[in-house]
Amino acid sequence: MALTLPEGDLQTRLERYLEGLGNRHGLEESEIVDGVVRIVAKKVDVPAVLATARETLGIPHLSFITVVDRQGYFELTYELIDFRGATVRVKTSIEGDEPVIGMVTGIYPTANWHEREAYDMFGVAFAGHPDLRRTYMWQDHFDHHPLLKSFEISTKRTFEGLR
Amino acid sequence: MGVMQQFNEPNLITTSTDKLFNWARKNSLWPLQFGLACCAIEMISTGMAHNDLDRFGAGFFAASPRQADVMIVSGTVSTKMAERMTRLYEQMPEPKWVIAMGACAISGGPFLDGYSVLMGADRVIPVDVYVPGCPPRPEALIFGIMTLQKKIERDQQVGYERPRPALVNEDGTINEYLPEREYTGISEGKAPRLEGMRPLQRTYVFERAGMPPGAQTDVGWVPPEVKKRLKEEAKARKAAEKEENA
Repeated sequence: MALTLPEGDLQTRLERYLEGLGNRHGLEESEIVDGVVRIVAKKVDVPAVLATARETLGIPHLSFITVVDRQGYFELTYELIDFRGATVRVKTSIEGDEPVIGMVTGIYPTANWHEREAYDMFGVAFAGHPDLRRTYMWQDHFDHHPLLKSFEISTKRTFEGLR
Repeated sequence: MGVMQQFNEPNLITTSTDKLFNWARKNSLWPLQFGLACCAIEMISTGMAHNDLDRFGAGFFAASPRQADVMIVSGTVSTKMAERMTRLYEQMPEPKWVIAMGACAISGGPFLDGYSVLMGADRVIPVDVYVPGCPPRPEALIFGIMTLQKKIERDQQVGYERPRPALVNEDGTINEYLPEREYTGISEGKAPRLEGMRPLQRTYVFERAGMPPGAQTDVGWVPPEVKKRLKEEAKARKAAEKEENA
């Protein structure tokens, strides 16, 4: 598939992204800060927002997904880039200790491993993910998500069931 | 073999098979091309022209475990990597040796209490030589390889049974042999030696069976028996002082 980069100069593109996303979805916050379109969306809207970004606005790449454990809720950030300097940062938060959110692997295939990593490190479950295995930690004998604030380092736990 | 130059015509040499095989083995150690972390850079540097590992016949880094003799565990072993490392070790043909290079491969090093770090390669595979350092300099690795050569020199090819771990009954009879995976004892140099052959000078005995003590990562930890001994010594000193004053 040939990649088509979005047209227009940086400011025009940023405004187009902001408008395009704001018109189609009920966003909680949306603004342009320092050349970045910053958007806060509700949890249920995230896959739709990213689908709009990909299909309608033509932003070709999902750069990364980050998760922050805020103790009580999780803060997720999806960063989209268009390879020409413009960035769209979609933020959302998930309440609860067992976070679940819709997957975006169907929209941006690269999200596959990003979501697996988020699941591995924070236990964020991505509903509908085709292959939600752990990436870094071993699948057997390790029943923890090490980047959670509630995770305490214990040498013993590391060796559960391993000899 | 320098000794051949002393002959003017074809001749015979009488030697023991042990000596011959050990001589061949120790001078053609092929390490496995297996780098894990920053120690690997130092290992590569050791193999380069300046340090020239080829002087010891160990300069050829075999790209396949099937052709390798030595595994140099160079770097932090994460628990996930431990499975792969064990598999590579098992794929290497006998005889095979392992060098644990650097603090991480010996004990986990600075990452000792990390959630994903194996506390020493000798938890899963038998290690022959430990090369301390963070990372060790090439000279140290070369010294480790020379130490391994000395160990191989004293190895025994035939005439003894390799120590095998077994479950033993109370009267000393063997109940059942454990599977080969439980490498206990092999790296401890417990194989019987020929008479007149000097045993390897051992400096450490690693008691690594089972779980590490919970306090192993605690900086302030002192073993209870040592604590007790220190207490008694202090007591004795105090008593002596009292007697002196009186």
